[in-house]
Amino acid sequence: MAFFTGAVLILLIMNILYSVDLNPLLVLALGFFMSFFVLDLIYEKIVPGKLVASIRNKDIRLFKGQENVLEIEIRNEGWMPILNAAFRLTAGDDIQFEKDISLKTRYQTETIASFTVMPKSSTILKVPFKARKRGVSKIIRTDIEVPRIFGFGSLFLVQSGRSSHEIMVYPEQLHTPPFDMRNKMIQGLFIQRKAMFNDPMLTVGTRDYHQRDSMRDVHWKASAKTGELKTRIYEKTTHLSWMIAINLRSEKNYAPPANIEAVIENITYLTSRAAELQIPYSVFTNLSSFDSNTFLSRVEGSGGLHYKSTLEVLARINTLSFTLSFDRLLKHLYLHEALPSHLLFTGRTDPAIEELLMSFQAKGVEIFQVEESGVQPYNAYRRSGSRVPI
Amino acid sequence: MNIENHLEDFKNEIRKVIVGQDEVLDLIFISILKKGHILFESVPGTGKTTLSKALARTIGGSFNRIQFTPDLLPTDITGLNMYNPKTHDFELQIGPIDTNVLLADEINRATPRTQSALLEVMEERQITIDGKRIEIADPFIVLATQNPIESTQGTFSLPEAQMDRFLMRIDLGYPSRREELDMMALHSDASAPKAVQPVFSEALLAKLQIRVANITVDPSVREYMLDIIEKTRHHEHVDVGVSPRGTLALMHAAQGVAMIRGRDYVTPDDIKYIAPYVLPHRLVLSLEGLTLSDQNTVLKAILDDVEVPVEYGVSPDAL
Repeated sequence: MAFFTGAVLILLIMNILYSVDLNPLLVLALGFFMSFFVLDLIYEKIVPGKLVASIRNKDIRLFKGQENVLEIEIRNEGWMPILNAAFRLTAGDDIQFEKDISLKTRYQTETIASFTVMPKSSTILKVPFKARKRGVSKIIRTDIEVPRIFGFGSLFLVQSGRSSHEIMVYPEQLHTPPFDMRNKMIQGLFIQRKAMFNDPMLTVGTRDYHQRDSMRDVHWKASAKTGELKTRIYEKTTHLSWMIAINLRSEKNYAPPANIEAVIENITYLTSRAAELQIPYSVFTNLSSFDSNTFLSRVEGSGGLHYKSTLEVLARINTLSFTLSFDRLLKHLYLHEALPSHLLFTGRTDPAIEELLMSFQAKGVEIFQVEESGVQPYNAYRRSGSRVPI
Repeated sequence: MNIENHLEDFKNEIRKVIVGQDEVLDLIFISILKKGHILFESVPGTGKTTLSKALARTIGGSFNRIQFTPDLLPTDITGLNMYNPKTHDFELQIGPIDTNVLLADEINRATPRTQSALLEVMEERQITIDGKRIEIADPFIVLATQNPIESTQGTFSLPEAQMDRFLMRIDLGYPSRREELDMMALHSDASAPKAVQPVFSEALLAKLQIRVANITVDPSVREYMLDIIEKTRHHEHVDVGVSPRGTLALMHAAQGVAMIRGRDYVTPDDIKYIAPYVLPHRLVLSLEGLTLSDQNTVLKAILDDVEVPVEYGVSPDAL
């Protein structure tokens, strides 16, 4: 194109300065090329500023192995058509695009989709993908290659700034045998039929007064109505809460344990069971966090929404990130968090960790070790050879 | 006076205290026409309580407000038989429920047992205290507010049965930049704010209700509504779909939309417009559904999936 433009300009200059007579057909051709050159300049000026690409499905959440479709809306707000353009999308390799073209770069998946969009209209690109492994896949880069309509070659538009869009891949659930969880003989708020304690704030009914019943439990209104003493029946409650501590360090080095993914999948299963049974639980990891909490964690809660946020925490565990020692995490939990009824921890133990586990056990906390095969009761005293507390 | 004038009067009164929210006011108007209960759900500071109070005044009649707190008891809402030592007898004391408009502020801060005190009155407009049935004034409208972001801190989710009784759940959201500028201008005025005047009399409400009920719903449109409802009951991410009460709510709300759009018949477009306000809060998602999606996304997928009835010879793509 530049060659023809140069030729046109030279011929024009010769025509003006030296009065060179030009063949009319040549003049027509020159005019043709000139107009194309001008249109190409306009096209180059207009297209980039008037093309808006946005991802329609903002929050994509899926489990490992599931498939989904990324919908990208491309809006052409200008008055020039965009024909047979190519949209190149690069994302983290926690997902894999159906038509993955990445060859050289590790930890990335890449795909190209072509599109045509007319002036003042929009089109939607559908990019199918599959969740490959647990993690958070971010959109790393987007490029658009727009062929020049009035010239040769293409315009290359590159994404400026970072994309905040992310696709979250939850871990799978590794089903393991149920574990025997003894009830704590502590007053609490967890409603359980077999519990030993009553919650005096939750009256569920009345019964006839028995001689040994406390006068405090008499339901005076019901007694007045029926003409005989009635005793309140309270909801049975106990203290039940799980604290899950995930160790992301191996026994002797900073690398994550070899079975960490299986352990995380087991914890996914355990937390889903806790969510179904409405058992409150918290999750802590020894992964350093830069927000208000020292460790990447999820504070205590229960139910479906809590499970969802737990899955997000589990998906965000990056085993290549900076970890702190597990005994430091346990010490933090012992000193700063409310003691749970059950502590579930992962990974190997060493004397420092065992000492802290003994501290938990001394306070009446039931301790369990989570491995890929299941959940086993853990007696820190027996392991360390210390005297079992009475 | 036609419906557009009533709607404009209503909006003008609300605009004395609330700026913008035009679409929300349309929805509220539809809800009032059907004497439906409304749940306002949005982040703090978006004007839920202010709007509810203004709304209550436009309806006229009596107005009561209950600030829901964790220590509120069911009898604090419905009332109870109190023992009178002088007469040696129980005296019935009806609670703040006996009103035309009840503002249940921060409803999710009370325990589910207390929230359940509203179940009977919201559906049947009556309460039962110790076996005695008490009729509540007509109209009876509950305007409830709740804040969704503190869902795990000292709050209790509303029971499904109660959610089902709300005709609409409306998210106020943030105002636009223009609206927020207008709001700043309104609040920089030193003069006392104008008082909101009643717009709906009991007679007017009754008249408008008859007009709404006369809006035609074609059998094909009814089938379309049922297709949507049935899809909610069989969706992979839904444990409990929309109830028959929800079906009626959708039909009534769609009639309201047709009415304010100046038509005497309901179109599928009316249903598509109103469904995201009437149906999502009635869906109980499964644990997997909750983790992968949310109520609005599930409903959107269903609306996209269900085939829209069209006139013979008209392509669905042309709509």
